[in-house]
Amino acid sequence: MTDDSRLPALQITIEGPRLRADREGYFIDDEYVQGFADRHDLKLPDRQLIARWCQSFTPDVLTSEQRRLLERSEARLSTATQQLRDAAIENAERDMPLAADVGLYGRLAADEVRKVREPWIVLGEHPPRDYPLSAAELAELTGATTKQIRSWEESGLLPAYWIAERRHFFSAAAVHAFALRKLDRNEIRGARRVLSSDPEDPIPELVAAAVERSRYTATPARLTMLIAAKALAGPSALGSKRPPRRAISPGHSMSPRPVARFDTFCMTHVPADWSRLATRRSGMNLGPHVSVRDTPQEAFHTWSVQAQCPGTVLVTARDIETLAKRR
Amino acid sequence: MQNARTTLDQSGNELVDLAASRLAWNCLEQEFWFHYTDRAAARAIAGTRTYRVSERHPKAPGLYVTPLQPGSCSCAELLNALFDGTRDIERTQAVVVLADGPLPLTRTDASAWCHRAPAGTELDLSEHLVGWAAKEDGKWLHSPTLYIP
Repeated sequence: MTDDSRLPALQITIEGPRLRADREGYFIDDEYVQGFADRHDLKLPDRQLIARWCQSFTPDVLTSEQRRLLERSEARLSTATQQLRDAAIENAERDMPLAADVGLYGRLAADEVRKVREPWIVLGEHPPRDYPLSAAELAELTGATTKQIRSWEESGLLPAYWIAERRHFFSAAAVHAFALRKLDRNEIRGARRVLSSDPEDPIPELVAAAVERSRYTATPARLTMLIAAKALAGPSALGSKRPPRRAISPGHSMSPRPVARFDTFCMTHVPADWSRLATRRSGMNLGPHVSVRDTPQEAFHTWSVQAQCPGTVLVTARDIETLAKRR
Repeated sequence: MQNARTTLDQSGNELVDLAASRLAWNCLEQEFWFHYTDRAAARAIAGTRTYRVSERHPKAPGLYVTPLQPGSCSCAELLNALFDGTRDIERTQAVVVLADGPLPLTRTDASAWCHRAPAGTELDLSEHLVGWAAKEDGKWLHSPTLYIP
């Protein structure tokens, strides 16, 4: 894996003319410009943009030179810029809502929320350092080490976007990193372990390990939340090149016990938020083997992940509690 | 230009804090639409003048907007009105501002409209996007394009 920790994260810059709200002109270099007259001092893409605005908003004054500009093909966004934009949107519309829905965001302390929201208060204000961040910057923001950040990302514990051969972290990664810092070494090892399970059938392993660990940890929700977040999110689709997951080695201390052999599980100790999440995502297809469906059960805020395999057994929250008592 | 307080993002672009009375939606007759998101996404959309439709709404993908102006209601009210009650408050911290125009919108909820497009579609907003704004320390700052000089 490339050591990209010290490489600066790429940024999207807002350059060139910007359309004014009244659409009677544009704003450039701290100056309000009235109208859309051609300007030879600007770059070709900026002149083409102004010509487009002129054609749309003041077509009567469109010059022949601007018409010629419009006939030329327009410059396209670079691949890296597209990926940065897509990653920012995915972070806002998928990664962060997920972090909030499964309770990770809600566990942040007030100062951590502020750091997630305004990373420049830690990373520097002149100019304000904002997302995306490099691994080193995320480490500085969250108090983790760069090595931890890289390790967590390589294990799939942190959402990251690989763009131009380096990791780019957004706000959801900061939320995850703050949460991971509160886990002990065994919990992180457990999370890493289940996330590196067989990619062909990951969900039973994830849930089994979560249930298993919840039996003997004082903070069961943390790990299960992290794991479920990952299970729901799936691999980052945009600009992501995660390392391939390793197969489980037999006899590992974290190997799931008998409960892992069931194909279908319910999780206990799940906050009410999860029930709402499951309801909203009812019927959402998560992959070739797995779908989520809401299974409301009295006295439990239970969320069921059911493998769509013939002959599977539905194990309810009550069943798992009974199993635990028998041991 | 009155310069009560300005902030520079790392790209050197200003978000400014000026009198609300000079904001476009308080001065002009035309309608404005607001796409709420977080700060990084708002700046990315503003910087590229494009929006890529995500797969967040598999049944009804598109660009979701609202006429609810920044600061017109609380974060909790926005979350309930636009995001089905999710607790992701970060999605109310920034907004992309679109001027009314030929972008066809379909009403999807009391306060939500959507420009429907298949997931993965790149929407060209260069004739609609007129600015962006973000909240800092609880106060909305706006791009200079949103002020009527």
